[in-house]
Amino acid sequence: MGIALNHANDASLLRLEGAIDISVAAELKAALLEAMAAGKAVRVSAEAVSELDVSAYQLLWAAQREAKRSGLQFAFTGRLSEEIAGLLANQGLEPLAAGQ
Amino acid sequence: MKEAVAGNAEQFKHAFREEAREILTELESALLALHENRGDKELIGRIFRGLHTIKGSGSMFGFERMAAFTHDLETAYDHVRNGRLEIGSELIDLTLAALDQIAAMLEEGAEGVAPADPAVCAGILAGVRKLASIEEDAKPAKKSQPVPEPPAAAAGPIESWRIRFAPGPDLMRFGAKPSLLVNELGQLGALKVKAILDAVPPLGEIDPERCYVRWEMELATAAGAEAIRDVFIFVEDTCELTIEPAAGAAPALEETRPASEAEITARALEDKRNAKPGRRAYDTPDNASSLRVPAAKLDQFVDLVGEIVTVQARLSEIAARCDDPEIAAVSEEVERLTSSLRENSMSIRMMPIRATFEKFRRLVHDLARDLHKDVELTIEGADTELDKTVIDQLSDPLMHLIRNSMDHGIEPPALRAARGKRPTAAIHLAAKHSGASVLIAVSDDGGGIDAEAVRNRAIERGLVAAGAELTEAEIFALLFQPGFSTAKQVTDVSGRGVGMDVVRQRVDSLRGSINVASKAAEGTTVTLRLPLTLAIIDGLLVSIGDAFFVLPLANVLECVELTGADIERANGKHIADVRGEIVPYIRLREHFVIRNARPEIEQIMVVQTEAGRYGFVVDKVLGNRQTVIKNLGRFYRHVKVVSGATILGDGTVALILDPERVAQDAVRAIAHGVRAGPSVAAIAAAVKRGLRGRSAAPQKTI
Repeated sequence: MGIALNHANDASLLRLEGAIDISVAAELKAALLEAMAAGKAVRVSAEAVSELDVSAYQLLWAAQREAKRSGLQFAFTGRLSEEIAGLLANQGLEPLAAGQ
Repeated sequence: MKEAVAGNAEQFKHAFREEAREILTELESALLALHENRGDKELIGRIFRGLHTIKGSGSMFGFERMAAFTHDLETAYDHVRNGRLEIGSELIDLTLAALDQIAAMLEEGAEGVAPADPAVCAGILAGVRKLASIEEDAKPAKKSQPVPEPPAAAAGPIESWRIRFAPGPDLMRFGAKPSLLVNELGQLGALKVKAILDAVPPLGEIDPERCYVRWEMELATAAGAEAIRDVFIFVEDTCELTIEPAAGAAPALEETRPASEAEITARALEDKRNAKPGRRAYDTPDNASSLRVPAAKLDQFVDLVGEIVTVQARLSEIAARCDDPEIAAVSEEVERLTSSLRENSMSIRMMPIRATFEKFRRLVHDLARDLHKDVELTIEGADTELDKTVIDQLSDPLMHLIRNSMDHGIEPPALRAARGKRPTAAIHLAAKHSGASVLIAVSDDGGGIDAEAVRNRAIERGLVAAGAELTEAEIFALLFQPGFSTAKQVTDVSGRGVGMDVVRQRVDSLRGSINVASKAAEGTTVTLRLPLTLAIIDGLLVSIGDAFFVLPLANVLECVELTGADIERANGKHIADVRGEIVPYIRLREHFVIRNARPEIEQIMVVQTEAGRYGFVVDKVLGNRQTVIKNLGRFYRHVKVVSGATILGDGTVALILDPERVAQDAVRAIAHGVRAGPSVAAIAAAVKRGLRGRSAAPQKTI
């Protein structure tokens, strides 16, 4: 469970694992800000996420929106599990951009 | 941060517990009412909704076991609601037993609470499943299957609702999850959800614990606005929520067709229901108008008010000595404000006794079943308000009295029939105000108390001498002696001789009194007289020599002078003529053995007691005082005529008299030819000693 940020040459890799919810939202925000600040493409791997709540979703969504505005690449490398994707859809939350 | 989140979740859980407790109580009374009135659709609906809320909200706040346990019960009542299942005693009893288990699950982890028994739970569920023919593996409706519940469809026409839900900033912090709310809505019917993220600020400005997303939803359901609102019950206070019928022109989820007249009417009705305050307090839009405050905080508040009242008395005292108009004006203003503050704080603590009374419906129901007696409980004056502390301590004594009535008072059905009585026995609980007291009566129409048996038993037990002449009241008072029981056999219900003693102790500690009236073969009424409040009263300060006393103002009717000439006219008898009415009087000076010369003119305070009007003769009447009641220490508990003490502005101690007891005592003293009441000087001295060495702030017990 957790959030790990690694800087590769051409991209910042953000790995999410376990329950990504309000209890780690502050951590996630810090990691996203750091990743964006690096000015490189951001890749988020989310296949090991077991739970994703609204607080986490709105952070990822905001990060994605900003990346789009500043022309930064922001992508998900591992897909969210079907269950979580379904849960987000149930809440009327649009899917976060899939991997490219 | 994690701890903060956990702390908030705990806080929210706590709020849920409180709400759930209320729902459980409501469910219990609805079930018992249903027992009497099997066909009541409204009651069945209430029970179903209550169970549904406990299930739904329970799982939302982490009470998964409770939610799972409640699921089948809910289903059973769903069947009842649809007419697929007949409501019977068995289901009602199972549900009552289930409520006990739910209550236990709710309090899990709390000290002194027996945990829910898995075996009992399994037994209850098996019983419910059998009755309602629910399959064992029927799983709780899963979030991924938003199948509209068939019962909902049966309840009325399907309507479309537009729901706008904007969580308050703290929703997530409280541990509530919007996803669960949405799931629950999905269970009501076909749901379209759209999340709106306009309000999400730039990443750097996001408060990670705040929810910026709001939702617009369209729900096609037959459940009605109330059921939709129920989903949001625990977050409603902190969110913006509008529920309105989707307008005909809007793209509704069902096919567009002109609405029938009936539907329009139904819709209008729903609308109206929606706009007006619903059945619960939190259905009102302005739900901030009442607050839930921990009782301990209130107690602290009242303690502080008590201290202010004491300090204010000192200020008044100083102002009177200073003879400075400016100080006098301030002192008067402070006195006025303190008085309002006191009244206000007392009124906050006043609660209707309803909840305590209603609780006994269950007891009577269960006992009647166990004892094979048919008993009906009626309640009167449930809106009577009294101090929270008094209410809290009333449950036990009332329970013992009711058990006693059910077990010993009410005859077995055969005997009732032989006596030509109604087969259904009656127990009546009543409350009403009387002066500064509340009268609470437990009556039954049973066999009455056999005074002779009580007497013989008391002699047997050595409680009274064999030849003692006792009045009926005195005999009945024996019932409340420790270890006394007339029951031929000890049953599970009562008869161990503990209950009545507990009643007396508790009533004594509340400074109340017990009165028993009974008629053979007609029934018994036990009346508890309790003070309205335990904290501060309006009193009349009087003095005899250098001793000060306070009489509760509510008991005092008037004050008249007693001159030597008056005494002569009555030929030395203790009788005064108050505007033509003969009032016997008691010389408190003699009663309390105060040895100093009495003044030329004394004052008679005419006091109303249960036994009639009495005059209490004192030297001087000093005027009204707000009186903070301090309990006497345990050494003086036995002095019944004094119900407490208070500290005057100059630090002097005044004893608060219980007029009822003073009158009883004096009458008894005359009857038995003794003339010595307790020495008040000793009590006052002891109270003072107790005060020494303490801070200026008064303590609860002296």
